[in-house]
Amino acid sequence: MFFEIFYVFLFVLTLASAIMVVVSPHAVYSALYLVLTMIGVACLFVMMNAMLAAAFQIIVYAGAIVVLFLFTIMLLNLGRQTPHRGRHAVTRWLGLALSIALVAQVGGAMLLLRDALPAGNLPTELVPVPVPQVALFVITEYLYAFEMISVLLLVAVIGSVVLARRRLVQGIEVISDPVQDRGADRKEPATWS
Amino acid sequence: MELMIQGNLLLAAAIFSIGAVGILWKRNALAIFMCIELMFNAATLGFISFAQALGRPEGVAVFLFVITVAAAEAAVGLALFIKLFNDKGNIEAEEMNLLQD
Repeated sequence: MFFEIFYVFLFVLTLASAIMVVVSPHAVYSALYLVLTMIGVACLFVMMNAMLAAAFQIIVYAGAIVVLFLFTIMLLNLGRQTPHRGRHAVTRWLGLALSIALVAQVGGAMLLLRDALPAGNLPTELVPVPVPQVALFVITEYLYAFEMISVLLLVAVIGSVVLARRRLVQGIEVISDPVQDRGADRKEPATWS
Repeated sequence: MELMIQGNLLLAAAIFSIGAVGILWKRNALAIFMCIELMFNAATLGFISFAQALGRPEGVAVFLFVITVAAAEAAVGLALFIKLFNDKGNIEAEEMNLLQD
């Protein structure tokens, strides 16, 4: 009984905070609601006995990615998001309609499938997938994807360093100024800092 | 338990749709990024639900890949936004139309 109540609570919490990410007018609040959504999903993972996934969700998503978001928001001094103008209204309403259609379709398919599924097809008890089995799977079956992911991470690290670095001209840090920077780019070759 | 898996899949579809609406709705590139993260989250929720329901490790393995892609995307994207903000003074998605300044 407690399990069901807690599940419904988590369901509503996660859904509401996901909506608030989009609705909230303030960038920092959006990021904090994103954290709440991720923690809600992590709690759902725990309820499904997927402990490894829950730990990764908390550490990587709620810990690293959202902190990166908050850093960027504060670096760019975004604060309140600019109110959107009336352009592309058609795209918006079309997107809203399509999304509602998607949810309706998935919900309808589930309702239909519940009767179609043979009883006992799904386990009554959700057991944790053993971590060694996952690890073995990653380095055997998905080895190619694993290697590609490592290359992707390397490229991402190099790319973000190259993009976000500040130019150093003879050891003096150039504080980026929108007007001066454009000319400066052309005159002298970019130097590594 | 069976009901929980179905509920999770429904929740995943809902969060995915909310993210999709946000991408179409928002103008700020950072807000669009947050919506993409929401969609990643929904996808991982689906993967883990199926992995637990079927008791197989594939879903968890794919979850690890998805989370890595999300992290890489966030790192590069946010660096790009800082650069864009330094050059243009805003990060409106509509005004990003140049590959160089």
